[in-house]
Amino acid sequence: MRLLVLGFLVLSLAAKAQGQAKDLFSHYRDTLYQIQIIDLESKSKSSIGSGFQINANGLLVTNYHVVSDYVFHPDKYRIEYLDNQGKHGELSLANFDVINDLALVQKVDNDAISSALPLAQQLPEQGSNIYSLGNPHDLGMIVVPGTFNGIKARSFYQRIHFTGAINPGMSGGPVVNAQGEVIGVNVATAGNQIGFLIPLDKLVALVQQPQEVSSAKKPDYMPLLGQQLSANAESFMQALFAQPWHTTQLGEAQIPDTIADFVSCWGDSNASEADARYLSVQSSCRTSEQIYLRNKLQTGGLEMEFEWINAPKLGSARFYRMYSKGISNAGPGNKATTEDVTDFSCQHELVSNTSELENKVILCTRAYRDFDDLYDVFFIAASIDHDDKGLISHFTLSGVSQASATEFSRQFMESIQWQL
Amino acid sequence: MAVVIEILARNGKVLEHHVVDKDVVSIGRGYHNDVRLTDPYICEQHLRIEDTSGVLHFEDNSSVNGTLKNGRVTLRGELGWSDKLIIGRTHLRIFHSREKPVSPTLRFHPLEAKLAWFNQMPLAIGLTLVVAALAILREYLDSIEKFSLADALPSVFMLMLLACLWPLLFGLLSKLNKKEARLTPLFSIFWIAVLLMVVIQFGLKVINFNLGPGSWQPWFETLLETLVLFSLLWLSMFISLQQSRTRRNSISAGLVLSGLGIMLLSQYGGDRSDYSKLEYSPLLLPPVLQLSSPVNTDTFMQDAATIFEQANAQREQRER
Repeated sequence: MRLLVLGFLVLSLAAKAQGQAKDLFSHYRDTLYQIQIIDLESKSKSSIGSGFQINANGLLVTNYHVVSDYVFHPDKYRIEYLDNQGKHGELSLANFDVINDLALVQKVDNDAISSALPLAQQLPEQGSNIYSLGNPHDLGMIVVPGTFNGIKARSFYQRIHFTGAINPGMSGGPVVNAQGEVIGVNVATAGNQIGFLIPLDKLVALVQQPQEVSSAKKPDYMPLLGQQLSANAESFMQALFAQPWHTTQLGEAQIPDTIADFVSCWGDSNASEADARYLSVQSSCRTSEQIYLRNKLQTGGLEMEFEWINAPKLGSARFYRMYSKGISNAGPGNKATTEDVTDFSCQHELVSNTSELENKVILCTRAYRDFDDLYDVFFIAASIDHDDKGLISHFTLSGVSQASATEFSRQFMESIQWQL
Repeated sequence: MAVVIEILARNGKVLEHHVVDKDVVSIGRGYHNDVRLTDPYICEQHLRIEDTSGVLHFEDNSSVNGTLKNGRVTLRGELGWSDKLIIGRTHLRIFHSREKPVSPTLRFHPLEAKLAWFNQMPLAIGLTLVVAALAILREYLDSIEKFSLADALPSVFMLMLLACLWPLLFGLLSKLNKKEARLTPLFSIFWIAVLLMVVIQFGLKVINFNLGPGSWQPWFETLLETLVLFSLLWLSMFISLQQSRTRRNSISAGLVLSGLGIMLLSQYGGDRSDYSKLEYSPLLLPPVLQLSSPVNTDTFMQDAATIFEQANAQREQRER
């Protein structure tokens, strides 16, 4: 009898969740829009995303990455919405936050009757049911129920961890709680029912900023984008330098590893290979997210890699030949095209740090064409003070100022030493 | 002073050379002629040449197929160095030996005596062995797995065989010109050029590693290698082909420069990818070859300010 009651309870709860999703969708579908980026040349959409209205003035929220083509080339694209009834209308870009992947777009011809989604006061409790809305693969608006799992651990760029399927095209759609209030914005998926959302506070912060609807004939968003990137780079570097770097042992060397709590590290070695002619132990650390600026341009990330090689069987001459090959094909952690950045310029020198570890150091940098004092730095070095063993160290730091890049490189080089 | 009769190939090359010191010279198929030709289209007494105080006249003795002077049927007339006669199927050049003085005798090139040194068989064999040893050493250095000589030998042997094509080619050219092949000096100078290339590349590697790769280095390396290649080509031609100095100079310069041109074109002509380029020198050398003393971290970071300037300069270049 008890079992029966329990079973009934479970069934009715599931039915309630489904019912809520149904209600939500019918209630709020008027506030959902498909955001389309129209290529002025071909007059057809070049990319799509989702968006939702948050006030009666016709202000819509979407992802920055949905409108990134327009931000870089406002003269080549136009932003449009497609509403629930199949009606098209023009949108203007009101504001954006590239770091948190948010954009506000304004209906140019707003009819006051359109409805809006309210923003929640706070995030729900961990484990609550939440509902992601959007337009996946251009198939029409859908609702995906899922679970709120709190703010993702170990990340510099804060994201809500959502258990539910977010698919391409749902980017920019709202995520609401059971009361139908917005608690986040769809942004990315890690596959297998793991989704990421922009948390509520980032959205509130952007909405509370004064909205500057650019009325210029040829708006230029690069200065604003540059400001946001520089400010973020500053706080990113501050977070990296906040505490003394944690180091760990790799072979006979001491190397930095989890230098901040948002840097996660992994290790590997060939010790289990019976016929290996030398020992190779690796450590690799990286930040989990980068900032999406536009197609083929990501920034704001850090990766560090180390490899300890010990090859007493090879002898000096053969070891150094293999060692050279070991550092010959490295590349930067973020790819970028020559339209956005310059080619790398490199400095090669033999350097001995204060712990008397001798390295051949190669430091390379490239400048961002659209932004002042913003660089990617690529570093690779190999210790050269032993005959048949050595340490390869590498990092890529993207989207930082020259001063930060210099300071980071200096600290990185000084933090490596031989085990005493 | 005498009448010279040369029998020519179609391309102008001299096949036979006859000198007759008489005022009247007869040419034909009969055995009594001063110059007898076996061409079946020539008559028994075909042509008569007369030397009138240094000027030559010819006369066709009513032959069946006639005589052509410079391509036209001509039965009698004057003759000289610049005229070409055809009787039957045979091409002739007939002139007075006084008419064509030979060019002055060439002095030996100062190198001629020194080249004798390269002509020692033990030297050539010794150099061959040194190069083979270097090739084996390279195989050894590139091996990470256990090195075995038996595995390395076939590829070293193929490489050496391929390298031998150069001296053999020049030897063949020499033979085709009916001269001695002189393979010993050809091999000696070829191996010396190979060794020079190895020394140049090794030296530049040590400089590159210790001082960093300057932008002058690729140019300097190309310059040195071009000089070695030019010298090798020049000497090979000097040994195997007997040609005038200007001809030899211009052929070797032309070949080397066109090779260089093709190399440069292939380097700078290709399409580049859309992605920003990262080029650095990954060269690492063992501690024994570290000749310069390392700088400290602060100095390195100060020096690195230049790469930011370079990146900025590139950025401004595009903006303009």
